[in-house]
Formats: sequence, C-alpha cells, structure tokens
Amino acid sequence: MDGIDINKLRAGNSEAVRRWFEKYADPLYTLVYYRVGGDGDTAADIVQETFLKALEKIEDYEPNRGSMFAWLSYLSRNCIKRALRERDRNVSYPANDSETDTKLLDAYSRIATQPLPGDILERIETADLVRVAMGSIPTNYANVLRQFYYEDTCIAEISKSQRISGGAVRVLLHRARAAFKKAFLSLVEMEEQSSIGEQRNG
Amino acid sequence: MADQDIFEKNTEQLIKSAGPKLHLPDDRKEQILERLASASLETAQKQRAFWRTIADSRITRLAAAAVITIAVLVGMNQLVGPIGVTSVAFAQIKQAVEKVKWMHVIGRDKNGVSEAWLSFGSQIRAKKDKEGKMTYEAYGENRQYVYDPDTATVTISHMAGKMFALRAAGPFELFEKLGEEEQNKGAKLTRKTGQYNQTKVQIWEVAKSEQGTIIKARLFIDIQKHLPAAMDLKVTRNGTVVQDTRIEFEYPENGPENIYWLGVPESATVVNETSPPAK
Repeated sequence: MDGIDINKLRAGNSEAVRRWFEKYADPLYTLVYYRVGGDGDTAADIVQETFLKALEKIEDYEPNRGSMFAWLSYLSRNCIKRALRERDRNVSYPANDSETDTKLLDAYSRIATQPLPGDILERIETADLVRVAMGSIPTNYANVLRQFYYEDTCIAEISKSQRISGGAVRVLLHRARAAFKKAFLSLVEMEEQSSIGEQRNG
Repeated sequence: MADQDIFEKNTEQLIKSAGPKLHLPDDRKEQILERLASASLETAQKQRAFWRTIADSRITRLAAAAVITIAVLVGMNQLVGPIGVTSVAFAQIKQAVEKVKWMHVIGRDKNGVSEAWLSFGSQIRAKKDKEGKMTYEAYGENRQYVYDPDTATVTISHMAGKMFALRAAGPFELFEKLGEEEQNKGAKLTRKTGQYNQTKVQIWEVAKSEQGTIIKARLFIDIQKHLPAAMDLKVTRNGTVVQDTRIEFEYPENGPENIYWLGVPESATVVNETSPPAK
C-alpha cells in the first residue's frame, strides 16, 4: 500500500502509524479544508478525529475496495457534517457524495475522450473528487502533476528542482497522468455503484 | 482534438479546480501524532496480551486448544479481510461448522492425548485430559461435573460466572467475539492446497514472532466438507520448542451425554455441592 504496511498498522506499530499519518495528513487536510469553507482550525480537528476513527476501525479497511485515502476521505464525511452542523454555517457541501448526479458522473467517466464542460469543472464535487484522486496516487506523482499543471512549472524547472533529466520528468508526468486517470475513474465507478445502490434502495 | 490531448487538457483543468495542496500546521501534526501514538499503544498492548495467552497456554488442555484454533481463524479472517476469494471461503466454513452437532477435538503432543467435545446447540463442553481428569460442563443446567482420578470422586457444582464459549451461539460467533477482544494483527498468513490424511485440504498457515517467541500455526481445511480437519501449533521461545501439538477435529453425530460417557467409573464417589446443606 504505497509504503504503508497495513499489517503493522493493524498491530498498532508506532512507526507504521507515524508514516501512515504523515503520508495522508496533508492531502486529508487539503480535502477537509475546502469542504469546511476554509476554516483551518476546524479542518485540523476533523483530520484528528478522522485519523483516530480510522485507527479504531482499521479492521474495516479493505484495500481491494479502494485506496487508503479514499477510505479516509469517506470516514471524514461524517466528521465534516457534524462539524458543520455544530458551527451552523451555511457552507455548500453535498449531503452525500453518492448523491452526485448522473450528469456529473457521465461527464467524469469521459475525461479521456471528451472535453469537460465549464459548469462541470466549477462544481464542488469535481474538486472534491480530484482531491481524493490526488491523495490516492503516489506522492511523487501528485507532486509533479501539481507542479506542472497547477503551478505552471515547466519541465526544465521541474527537472532542475527534482535533479532528474527532462526525459525522466516527461516519463514521470506520463505515469502520473495515467495513475491519476486510473484513480479518478475508479472513484467515479465507485460513485456510480453507490448511486445505483441508492436508487435501488429508493 | 486527439483523445490524448483532450485527456491532458482535462487533467490540467481538473487539477487546477482542486486548488493548491495545503499543509496541516506542524503544531497540530504533533498533537495528532501524540494522540495516535497513545491510541496505537493500546492496540499493541492488546495484541501482546493475545499472543502471550497463546504461547503460555497448556495446549493439551483442549479447551485452550479450541480457543486457540478459534483465535487463529479469527486472525486469519481479519488479516485477509472477508475470505471469499479462494476455493474455501470463510463464509462456507462458518456455515458448515455451525451445522455440526458436536465438535470433537483431539490434541496430541509428546506427553499424551487429550480430548474435548463441544456442542454449541446444547451448550455442553466436556474434557478429558491426559492425566485422567474429566470435566462435563452443562451450561444450560448451570452444573459442572468434575472427576478427580486421584480421589475417584465426581464433584458436582454450579458454574459460577462461567460462560459457555463467551455466550456465543456458535463457534464462529465465538471466533468473532474473541476477535473483538484480542487482536493478532501483524501475523503473516499464507494459504495453499495440500493433502491431510489423503484428503484434499487447504492449508492456512499463520506465523507470528515477538520478543523471542515464534508461533507457527497451520490449519487444514477439508475442501469438500468446508470443515477444519486439523491444526498444528508450534511455539518456540528463544530457540527452544516449548509446544509442538497436533489438534484434530471430528464432527460426530453424538457426544457425551454425561460425565460417565467419558469413562468415569460408576463406582466413583459423588459429592454434590449444589444441594442445600442438611439441617
């Protein structure tokens, strides 16, 4: 699991717990921060609550059903809802990701073949899904994608900062995009399943 | 536009939509790590207690053997998640074991043979150890019968505070209950197909090493019947084998009806401690 030994984590090995936390703390904080409307203190409280809950429920985590980060983000949902209720703030947040409508899911599932419409890109659900996907891929992949796309850092500069050749940066970017696509589509598929399940359950 | 270009453009826009990566403040990281360290310490302590219990059990006392088997199964279930990906699925075993009337457990080591019978339906547990001591515990009647071969006496008493299989309705519920209490994460599990007594079995092997103690257990599951057939348990402490036991499981239609069924002589003196004292 990308450097995290799940058995050691389950055994309460302190080093494994530390590594696990350090790997996912920032991505989870980023995800939660935006979901709670940019309140850093509340986001940090929710991160703490989520990790403690995750450690307590670590038995429930099934690697074959999704990434560790997707699981953590799932666990954070209830903490976020509760925190928002307590604060009684009117922050726009989807009641449940499974409620993401079919139009969105349909657009997401075609990211490899059709341009995403502007209204889809502006949806809060889209940003959430991207953050979960970014938190689910290896850190070096997420970092290079952020550098290249978000920070507009050119390949030469990435090459210099990472002390690798330009060709190696291109390879890294290629792999990172593929990993992102896989993680993103896998999350979309999970959302679709969840959506179908909800519809069946009325 | 080619698909690759579309995908790259979409990726760029998606990543831009997500905003920058943020960092949890260092002081909060420290705080959370402290809380997690304390929570994980509790988990580790629980786990150590579990393995010490296994390593220090007198394995030929078959109640313990059954419990260990159960615990190993629980551990295996938890280690691999819901077992359903192999030819012998955990749910199938669970279903098969819950249908059995009696579980007869036979333990062998260098010192001799011990036996135990468990009936989850009638809540009876009977034991016969290699020293000749026999016990018949009828949980439904709240009575236990203990035969001491040295004094040739059967003592009948109440089952003060004892719970049949932790009040479990079936063996696998017991497995689950034990799993809740004791954790054995960190063990390594392998599974393979093999033969046991000319029967095709799946072999579940679990190994655990901690503080100089190595525990290796193998469980043989009859693939056709979906029932545990046998188990090996070997405990080595600081290089010395302290336990090396083979436990076999049988599933007879009938089991002990009373303590005499186990072989207690009819002539044994009976001391009934459940009767009110004579005035």
